[in-house]
Amino acid sequence: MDQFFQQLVNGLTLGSLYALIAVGYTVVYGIVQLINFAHGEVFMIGAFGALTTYLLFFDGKTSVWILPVMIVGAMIASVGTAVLMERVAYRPLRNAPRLAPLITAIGISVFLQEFIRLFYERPGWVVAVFAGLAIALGYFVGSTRTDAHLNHPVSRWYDRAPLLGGAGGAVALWAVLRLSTKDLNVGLIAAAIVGGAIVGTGIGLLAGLAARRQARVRISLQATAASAATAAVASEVGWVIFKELITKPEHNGQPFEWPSAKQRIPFPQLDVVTGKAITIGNVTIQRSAIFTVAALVMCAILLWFFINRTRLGRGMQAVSQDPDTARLMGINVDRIIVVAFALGAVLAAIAGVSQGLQNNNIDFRMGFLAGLKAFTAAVLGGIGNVYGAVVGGLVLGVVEAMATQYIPGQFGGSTWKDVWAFIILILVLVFRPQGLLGARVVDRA
Amino acid sequence: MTDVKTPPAEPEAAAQPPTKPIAWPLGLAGVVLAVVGSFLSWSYDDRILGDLSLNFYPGGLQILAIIVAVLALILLLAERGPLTRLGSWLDATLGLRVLGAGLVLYMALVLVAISTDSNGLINVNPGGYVCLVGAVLLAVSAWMLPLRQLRDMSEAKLPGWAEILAIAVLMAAVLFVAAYALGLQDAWSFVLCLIFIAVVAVALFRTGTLTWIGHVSQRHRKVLTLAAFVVAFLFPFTQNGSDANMSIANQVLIFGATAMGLNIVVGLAGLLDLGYIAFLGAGAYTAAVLSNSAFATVGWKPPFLVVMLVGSAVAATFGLIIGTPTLRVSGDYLAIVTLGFGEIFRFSMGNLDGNNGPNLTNGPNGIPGIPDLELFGFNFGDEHTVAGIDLGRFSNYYFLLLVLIGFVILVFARLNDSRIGRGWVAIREDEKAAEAMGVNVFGLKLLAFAIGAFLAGLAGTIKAHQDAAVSPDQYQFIESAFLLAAIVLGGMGTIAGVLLGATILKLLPEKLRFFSEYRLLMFGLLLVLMMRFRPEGLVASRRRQLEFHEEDEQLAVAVEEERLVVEEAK
Amino acid sequence: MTVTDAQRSPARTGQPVLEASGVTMRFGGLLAVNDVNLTVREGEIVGLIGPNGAGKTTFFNCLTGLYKPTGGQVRFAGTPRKPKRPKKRKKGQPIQVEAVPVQPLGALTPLSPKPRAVVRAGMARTFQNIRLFANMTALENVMVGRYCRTSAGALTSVLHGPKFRREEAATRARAQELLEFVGLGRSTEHLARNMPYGDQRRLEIARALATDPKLILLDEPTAGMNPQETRQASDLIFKIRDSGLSVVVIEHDMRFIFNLCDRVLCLVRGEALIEGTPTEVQSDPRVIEAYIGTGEDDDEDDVDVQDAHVQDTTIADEENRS
Repeated sequence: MDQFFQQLVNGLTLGSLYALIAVGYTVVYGIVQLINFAHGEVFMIGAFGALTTYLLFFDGKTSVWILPVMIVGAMIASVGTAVLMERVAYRPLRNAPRLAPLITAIGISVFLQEFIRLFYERPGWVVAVFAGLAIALGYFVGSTRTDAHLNHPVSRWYDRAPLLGGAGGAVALWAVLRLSTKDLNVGLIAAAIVGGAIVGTGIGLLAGLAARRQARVRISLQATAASAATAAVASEVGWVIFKELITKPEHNGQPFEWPSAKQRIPFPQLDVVTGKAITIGNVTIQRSAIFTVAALVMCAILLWFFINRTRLGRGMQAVSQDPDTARLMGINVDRIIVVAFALGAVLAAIAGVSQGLQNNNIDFRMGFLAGLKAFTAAVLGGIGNVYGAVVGGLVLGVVEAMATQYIPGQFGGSTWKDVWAFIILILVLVFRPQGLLGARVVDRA
Repeated sequence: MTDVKTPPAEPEAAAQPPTKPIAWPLGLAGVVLAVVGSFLSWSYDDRILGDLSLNFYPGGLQILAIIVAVLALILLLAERGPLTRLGSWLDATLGLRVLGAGLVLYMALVLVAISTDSNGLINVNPGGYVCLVGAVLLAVSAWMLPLRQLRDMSEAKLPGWAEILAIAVLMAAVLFVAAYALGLQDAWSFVLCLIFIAVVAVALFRTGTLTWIGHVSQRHRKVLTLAAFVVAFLFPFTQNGSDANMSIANQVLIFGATAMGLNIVVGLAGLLDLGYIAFLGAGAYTAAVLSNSAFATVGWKPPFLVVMLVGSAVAATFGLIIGTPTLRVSGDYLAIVTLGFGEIFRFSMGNLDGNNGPNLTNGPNGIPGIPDLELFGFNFGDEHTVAGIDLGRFSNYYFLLLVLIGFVILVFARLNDSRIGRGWVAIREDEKAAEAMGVNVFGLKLLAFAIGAFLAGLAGTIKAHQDAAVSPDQYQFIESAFLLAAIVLGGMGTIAGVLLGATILKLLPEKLRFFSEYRLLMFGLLLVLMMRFRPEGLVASRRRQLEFHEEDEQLAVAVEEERLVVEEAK
Repeated sequence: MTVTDAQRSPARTGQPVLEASGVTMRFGGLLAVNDVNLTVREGEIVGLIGPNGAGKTTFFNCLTGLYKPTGGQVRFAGTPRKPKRPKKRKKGQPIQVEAVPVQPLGALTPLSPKPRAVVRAGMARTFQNIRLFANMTALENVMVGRYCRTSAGALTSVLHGPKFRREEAATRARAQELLEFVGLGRSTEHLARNMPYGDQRRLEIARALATDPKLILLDEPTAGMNPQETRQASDLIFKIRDSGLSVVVIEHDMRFIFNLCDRVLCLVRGEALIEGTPTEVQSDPRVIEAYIGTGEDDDEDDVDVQDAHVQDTTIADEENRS
């Protein structure tokens, strides 16, 4: 009997993990009928985001109050990835036949795995990201300073040329400067900013002149200058962050080395949530397990509130049912879709932190199998149905644990545990394709 | 929502800037310089890029440059000179622009290659610079030449024998270039050769030659197929007895045959199968288990023909088992279920080693030591000498694989053009309407799945003997992704496209070893970019183009006109 | 009976082809179709009218198996199990257009609610919002319709065996014939998505006819058509009937219905209001009320839509008289 309870506990723990990831699959499928293959990678990136936050700010410490910060770091990483994915890869394919986004998702999944594997130890790419952010920020600030409408449906890049030229020019100067000297003294920074602003404004003006014939609107000098200045400041700030934080020197003067992601990376073990397991009777409960289950419960409650009691949540329900009518009712369907992706990513981030705490390490491959099983859980509970995802995840976890324990003979034991999920998937599809709690997808045929 | 497109500008000669009279002589000068430069030596060091250091004895890459220059000369003469009649069909100016720009790129990279592989630009001999200047002149002149109104390419007809001869010449050229490219040892040469191929291909495309070739091949389809097979058959004889490239060629053929089988499932029936590699593996493991290997686990040792049938049947059975529950429900689930099945397969093959299950597959070590297969008393491991050229073990398998891939292509083409093929297209278009018209949707999907699995199993049985071993880690998910990518890249639902895609995806990693670290990263990026910008693939099936660009009305009208022209020509 | 054998005179034996009794369709709390009966006899053209939302298309879907009715039964005089083997073609004879051999109407047997079984039994339909295979040509669209009447399998297709060649030629010829029958003989290679709207509707009818039906259900065949096209549609339906098929038509155009149909069934809010000859139905005050309303607001939307058709009718009548 003790074995039973032990496996029950194990199963619930495992299941909570699956449930957290499954919500992301189910919400996205309910809204855009897309199986986001790359969601497993979002989970993985969440874990790496938490690790990065820890290494950046808290290296060596184990206080439990680091945990919320790590979770926030994980969320930033995963939400950023998910939103970027949606914007860049999925949105243009909104009306394409189903095959296209599926294949894109596979591509993204492979790309993200490899990216983390290759580049986690070489943070040089962060500079490029900062440069891009600087341009975006510059453009954004510039666009608020000008009266011209830049988000009009017929705006083309000619209209935005001065702003883009301004921000781009500033960043270009910064890049050239920083490729030659990596110095951080204040005078250099100030010069870089001023120089960047001037050069950027100049290039922005030139760009405006070049595009003048085709542009619809005029952008004022102030706006161009504002965008150039902002970009210059942002890029320098980014550089400082990069130098100070990301490639910072260690205590003993050794440069900080980011761990290589080509094999498992140890995950920080914090105080309250890891450590000695709690024993009740003959059942051992890991502390991290308690964290996971508690996290699931909290998330489930918050999810309920979000979906049923907030505007965005109702909007999500509306868009899942009928996006065209929702659009006619004034709901910004694009934004709702982004929210759906972000929501899934938030929960996946928490799952990533849990996984790290439980297993003591993270690995760039961890998203693949977890994602598959989580999708199975979503289908088991009823695709499109958020509560179904939670229930499905828990059920799948418990079944997996029980099967490991109780299936006799050669096919029992932990070697075959991964297989059960797929067997269940096939059984569900044969006998109850709408899942345990009923699917909530509108038939688009 | 259709974009409001501005109507295309009429080709008005009056609106064009007046032809600069210097353009043509400049182009001619460029060509002459390029040829002269290519005969001179390019590099001081004779170890780089296959020896470009001798005057008047052009190395391979210099010959490629000469070929480009000669093509440019032909186009120049078509523009003004004895070949102007040709110039009324072909768009010489656009072709010249491509050739010019391409040659500039080529030469620039040659200079870069020479300087990086040796001690800097000092090692580049004047010949290289002369050629580069010639290329620049050519490019500049091409941009100054006028565009002109051309005649409709679909009316271009040569006498039948001339067209067949053209096909034969084209095929021979492909053969020699392929043999040359495969023989290149270092990565820079290979890249340059690829650029050469790309430049010539794009130039042919821009001049309209490819369109003409397309029309010709439609008219003489059987000749084209035969020529392609003859060329493929002759390939081993160009290897001078070396077996190294044949091994790669065999891998390409196996990959291509498997991709073609997947093409039936994905390209024709529109079913996304992400575990296809498992069917290949099922065939391979069946053949391994029934072989004479010391590690084989089953006592029955039937002749290879029987093994082929058993292997295919096993794979097809797996296909039926997976397909029956999943194909009834929405197609999205199929992807995940097949992915899961692929993983279960790999996992099972790695674990049925006696401890965790009956010993069927010898566990993670797989079954090595599979002897060569014997067919009608002919042992594929023996070497032969045919027409004075040695053919080794891999060449033997090569011929067998040619037969296999021919068979798969035959099945594909004939099914496509039949009642079943029409049913598949109808299912892709509108499943519910197809069902309402009496099409057996579930049955056709299951058929596609089973046939695909059967063909993959067939390929697997040969693969097991070719590789002489099977092991579970050959059958990971990423291999299925590669197969899918081959189809997506090459052209879903086409024959030539999928073969092209398979060749590219299998060959490039072999030849461009310096990229091997970033291989998967670029692969993922490639998938994303392909689906964004050209989902129908490189060689587009017209129908797929229509499906992927649902809102493009101009495309629909253009496709229809093509069709009508083809029908009238029949 | 093949539709293109125009020589055949309609066999008005009066034998019932379709018998729907007590058909009910409930979606959760909504009763879309409530206890509707319909009998169609051989060679009849039956009209199905009613305001928007009356349940006409839902009724069609219940008949053709797209929905499984919550209550009631549909019986159809289907083709008996084993069709006669076609006569072996003698060498040298031109290929006959081989249609399904003529079967006498069997007894009414219950129809299982599966679209494929329905089509194979002999009931075909068109859709309210045209559902053609947009990226296929007209000929290919009709050839897909022949799928259920041919049986060349994978093996014979790969080997290009005699059965394959025979069936391909027959399918192609038959499809060509059907396109000419509906008046699209010159548009065979046109993509369905490029064809004008009226042609698309006719193509859909041709595709439905390709399944060799005994009964064809047309869902708003003249929606969006001008009076001339409507007349052509009417002629086409008569031509179809004269080849021996029975037809059920959903329409809103009153004059079209009353000129075309032998009997009319009027549905309102899912229930059968009245069934009878066009004259009877036209003059029934309840029908007039359902379409024009008594001036109260609940039927206002019906008025806007139906009014136009009624006006059409009255204006056209006036033109005729003058």
